[in-house]
Amino acid sequence: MAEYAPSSADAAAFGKVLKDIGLTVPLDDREAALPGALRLRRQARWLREELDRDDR
Amino acid sequence: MTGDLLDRPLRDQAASLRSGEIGCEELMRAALDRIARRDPAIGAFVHLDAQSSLAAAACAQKTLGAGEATGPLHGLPFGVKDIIDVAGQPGTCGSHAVDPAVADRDARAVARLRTAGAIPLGKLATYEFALTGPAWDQPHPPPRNPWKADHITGGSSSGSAAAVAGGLLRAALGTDTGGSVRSPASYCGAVGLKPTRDAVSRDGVFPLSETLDTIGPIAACVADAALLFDAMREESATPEASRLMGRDPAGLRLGFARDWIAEDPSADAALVPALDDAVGVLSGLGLGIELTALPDYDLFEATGSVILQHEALTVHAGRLGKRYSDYGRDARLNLLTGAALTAEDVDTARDMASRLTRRIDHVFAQVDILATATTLGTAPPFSAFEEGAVWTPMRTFPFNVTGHPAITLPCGWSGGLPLGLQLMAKHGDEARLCQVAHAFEQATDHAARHPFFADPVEIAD
Repeated sequence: MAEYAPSSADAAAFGKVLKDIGLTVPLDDREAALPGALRLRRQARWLREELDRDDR
Repeated sequence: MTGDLLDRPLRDQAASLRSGEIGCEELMRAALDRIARRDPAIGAFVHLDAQSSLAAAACAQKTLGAGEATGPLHGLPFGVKDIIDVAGQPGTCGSHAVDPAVADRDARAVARLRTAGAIPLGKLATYEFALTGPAWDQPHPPPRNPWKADHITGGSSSGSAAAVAGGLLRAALGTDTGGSVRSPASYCGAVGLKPTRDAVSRDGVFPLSETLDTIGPIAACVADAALLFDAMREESATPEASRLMGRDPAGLRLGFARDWIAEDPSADAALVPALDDAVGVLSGLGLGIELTALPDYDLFEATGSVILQHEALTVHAGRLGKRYSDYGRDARLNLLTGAALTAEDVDTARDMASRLTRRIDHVFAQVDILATATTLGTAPPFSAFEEGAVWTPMRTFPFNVTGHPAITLPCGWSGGLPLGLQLMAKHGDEARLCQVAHAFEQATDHAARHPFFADPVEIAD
């Protein structure tokens, strides 16, 4: 699954979910973890598409 | 002579103890002596309980002398990955985020091995919380691969694989959530058995993923792995793995998932020929071979990743909140990725896991055994990890997702490092798995190769 450069909106959304679960994460760690987090999210969405296709 | 015995299968060692050929303390001293000589070059042990192990060996000898009933592993040493509790031994989970504490009771799997007579002589290195590695910001440096010291062992059961490959132990316990028994076993040229989900209790094991975690042995041969599994399994869950060992496998049907490897450009050039040879050996043993098309490998990897990262963050969120900076960098970055997932994402992955399991069950209606690679290459050098975590392609995750039992064993070499053949069977069919793996092992000489050590143990009787 190809990587793509995270946007500032992606970064802000990721920062919010970390805060929501009670984690105070330094900026450089947030930036370093973000590509992996987005990749995981895309994998999950791809699985949804595959399930929907399977159901059709 | 005792040193030679350390390289014999556990069943032979047990027979030598029962016959009085050697004593339990003598065997334990030989094992401890070998560890003292070799482990400085490997770094597999993070805690060695020499005094208690010798005391336990003395007790085992008394029991034998008194003619009392003994278990199949009576007096035999084994090692334990440092996320599994052993009463009286400290645990760190390979992390500064854990205050080392001495466990007051055994994990259930360890307790069952003790009941069978085995002696846990120490704790073995793990990647931090069984997550990711190798890394150098943990309490202990990563173990070195006994075949090439500047190469990784793989993980997360890094010390267990290194100890077995280095001849320090015949068998050790590991845990496997996405391949953490099988991939280090493959990288180190050992046998690694990931049992059927829930065949071995996870009680007393630090969790990574409630759904995917599995406890399994890493051992020097298939028979040793089966012997450990038989002693620690939950009897109600799975029959004995040893019960078909030695029986002729002719007539069994094997599905070769060659597409999962042959079409991947990251596969080592020697891997596909080694697997083709391995399947040829199995054909020569009388197994019926067919090429089997399995579901897209990426579906399994995506499914397993979503479940694992969600469940791992659930386990660690509280500790991360309190001790964030005590986690190693790669481990905490790995854990943070799970925060991006929604509940719907996780439900989707669980739904896909159920469907994939049914599809593999359907394949097992056609064949008795599946075969593919364990990892797509040999153990990479440490230098590849200087900038942080690196993806090492493998084919282990699918069978954590589906819960089927899987075993890896050496099937070839590339650049002086081992390659692994992975076999899978129906749920609860460890016996068939070990029957075929054992037959392959007996028909080849891969298991007879050992890393060279300049300090062979020589103990006079």
